[in-house]
Amino acid sequence: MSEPAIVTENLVRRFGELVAVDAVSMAVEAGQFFGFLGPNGAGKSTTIKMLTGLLEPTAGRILILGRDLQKEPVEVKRQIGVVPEGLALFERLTGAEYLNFVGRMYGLNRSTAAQRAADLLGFMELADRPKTLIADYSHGMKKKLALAAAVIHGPRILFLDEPFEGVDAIAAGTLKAMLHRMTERGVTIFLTSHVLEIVERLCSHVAIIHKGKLVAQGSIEELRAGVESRLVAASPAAAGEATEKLTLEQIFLEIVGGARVAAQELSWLA
Amino acid sequence: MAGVATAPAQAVLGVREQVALIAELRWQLFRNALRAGKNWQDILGYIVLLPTLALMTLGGAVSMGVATYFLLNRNQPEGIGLLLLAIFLAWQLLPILFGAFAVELDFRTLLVFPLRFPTFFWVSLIYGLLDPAAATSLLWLAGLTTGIALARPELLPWAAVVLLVFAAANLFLNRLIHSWLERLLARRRGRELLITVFILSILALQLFGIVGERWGSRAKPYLQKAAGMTVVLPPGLAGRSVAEAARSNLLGAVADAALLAGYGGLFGWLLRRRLIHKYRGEEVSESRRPEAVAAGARVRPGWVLPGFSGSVAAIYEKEVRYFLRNGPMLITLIIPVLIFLPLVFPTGGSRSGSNPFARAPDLVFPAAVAYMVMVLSHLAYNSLAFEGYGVQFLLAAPVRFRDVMLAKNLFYTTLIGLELLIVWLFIGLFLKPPGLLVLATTLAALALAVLVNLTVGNVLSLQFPRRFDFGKFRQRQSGLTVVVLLGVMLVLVVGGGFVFVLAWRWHKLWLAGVIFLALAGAALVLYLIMLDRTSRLAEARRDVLLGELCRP
Repeated sequence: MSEPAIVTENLVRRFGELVAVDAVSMAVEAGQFFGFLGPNGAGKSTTIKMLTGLLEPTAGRILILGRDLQKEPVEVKRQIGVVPEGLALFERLTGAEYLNFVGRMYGLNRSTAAQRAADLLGFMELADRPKTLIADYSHGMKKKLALAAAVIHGPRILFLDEPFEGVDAIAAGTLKAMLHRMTERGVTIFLTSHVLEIVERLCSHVAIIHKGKLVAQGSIEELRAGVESRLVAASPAAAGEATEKLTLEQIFLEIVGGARVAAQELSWLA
Repeated sequence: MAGVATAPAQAVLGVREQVALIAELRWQLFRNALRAGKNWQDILGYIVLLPTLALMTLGGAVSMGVATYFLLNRNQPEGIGLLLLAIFLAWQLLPILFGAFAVELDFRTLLVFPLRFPTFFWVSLIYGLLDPAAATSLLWLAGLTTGIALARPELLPWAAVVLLVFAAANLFLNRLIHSWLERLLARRRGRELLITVFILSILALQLFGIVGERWGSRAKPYLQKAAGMTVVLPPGLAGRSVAEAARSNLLGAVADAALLAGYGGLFGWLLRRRLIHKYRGEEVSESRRPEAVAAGARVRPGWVLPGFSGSVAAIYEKEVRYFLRNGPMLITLIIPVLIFLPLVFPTGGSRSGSNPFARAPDLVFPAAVAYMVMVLSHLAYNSLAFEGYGVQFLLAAPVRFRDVMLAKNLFYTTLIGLELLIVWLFIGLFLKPPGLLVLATTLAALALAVLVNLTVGNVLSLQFPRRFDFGKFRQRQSGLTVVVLLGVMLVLVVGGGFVFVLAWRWHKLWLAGVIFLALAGAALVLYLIMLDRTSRLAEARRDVLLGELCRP
């Protein structure tokens, strides 16, 4: 088996008294489409920030493609693409200027950066606004541009924080196809999303973080089997009744304990 | 859910209840704004500011009453028009100056609720009455009315009607202007345009003295003519109507009051039209129609900066583009020239005696450059201010932060060079170009100042970053940065100025040049050492940079 693309060892991040990420250890194999899930405030964005060098871990180690992120940050960053929370855009540039800028910051020569910028603008259907500043883009357009910027240098790992939020269905379909092709070529994609249907459709493996701790990790089938066996152990009578496969949403709710909240109701609502 | 519950029938609120609810919301917003995040400096500010404002408001009302009383007693009722003009200007202009750039309740947010148009209209008017400028103006009007009542009680009924119509016209106009401004401020371009116009207006005031001195006598008849024309405006008409009534010319009084009512009606009609558009949901988003372009748009390759890496060139290009798209920042380039104008212009008469450079024209250029350094230094001390979320990219990119700061420093140096050229051309054109020795010594001093600014500025930019927004006015650096900046300026300008003037008086200016050059050499070494450390500093300060610059 080849070296894992991403490895974290006892990763910890504290903000004063708050432990946002608590001893997270996980491994993501090369070429995997990996979903990183968790409720609001669970530590997803903090983890992704640490994995991309935006935040210093309080303790623990991060290996990206076998390199230690803290020891060789520039070399690691050259291999990865990031769409962080907030998108990291320079809003006073046009889309073309921004992609050109990003390409050159990743070491592409001038003509290659310009060519790829033009290709990506066309692919993302952003080429019809060459003079519009990013500040005047809609949210969906900004998202597409941020995705374009994350892949302009041909990264081997792509970190995406809520990549499809605000993107229309047509563009989302195009992007999903693009990301799938990338994984087929060996690119590892590490994605967080609240839309569990998307994660279920795209990802082969997932990890779930809850209150800073990693509470589950594996392929979706492994997680499903684990939850089903737990449910059967808790209520043997239900074993025969369950004919349909558990969805990722059901698995997620079982693991983080959200099923109870979902069952509550407000009686006065129509 | 157990079943579809039947929702109880909701009472449809009347206009009065809806207005009361919104007034309560406004009060809660005001109370929370006073409570939220106040430190002792803010509280001290309130303690000083509130009594001052109260004094100004009440003092103004008393002054209006006294002035009106004397005007009527001395049989000069036409003067009331001037008092009303002051009230009119306060009512219309103060909210623009003090409130236009502040965030307040956006009436569009109310439209998600089942609000009737009359409620919407009345809320807008009542909101206008609660504005501090409107409340002050109303109090001044009350003072003026009291003055009339005391001096000529028989005039009171007519004056009260006229002043009521005047107040209504003012209120409608104020809300109309507010509504137009709100629409303008809803778009990024509008906000920035307004900020630029505002700053330019303030700078234009600097020129009044010069213009007045040079062309004042020629402009006087035109100004008098313009002042006479204010009589056709609402304050002039209201004042004249009261004055005509005081002189028992009822026909004239009624005609002026009718014209005033016409203004009120026009403003009211325009306001209603404007609010109807808003009520129906007008488009104020930033999105525009796609531009017509040929398919497969080409992207021009980025800039080349000879001797520097592609990433440094890319950041430099970005800095230039950002600066060119930042109107208020562009204006900083003309500030040194504008502020220095009175000293450079060869003014005649008594003022030339107060001009210290009249006897020492050699010092004009170095003084102008020193002033330029003072005005532009702050740009180096918070150089990440406009990055916003983009700082995430700078931290995630495979580039040492040293290169980011180097590119920013190169841009700052370019800006200083450009400004130096403007100052040199300006002085050369209006006075005489500086001599070679003065020029060389000034350049040596400037090199020292720029290197010191960059060295200290790089550290402070990473230690105490502050986010600045393009469309906002009066944005503050961190307190410590301001203190350090003032300290550095004091040492550089006072120390450098002392050395310069001393050497100039002893006719040994070359010596000052040598001293500045030697110090600049030492500053260069220190700058390079500190520049190499910025990468490590940026790593260590990632939390602060992201926390401060990526605030929504």
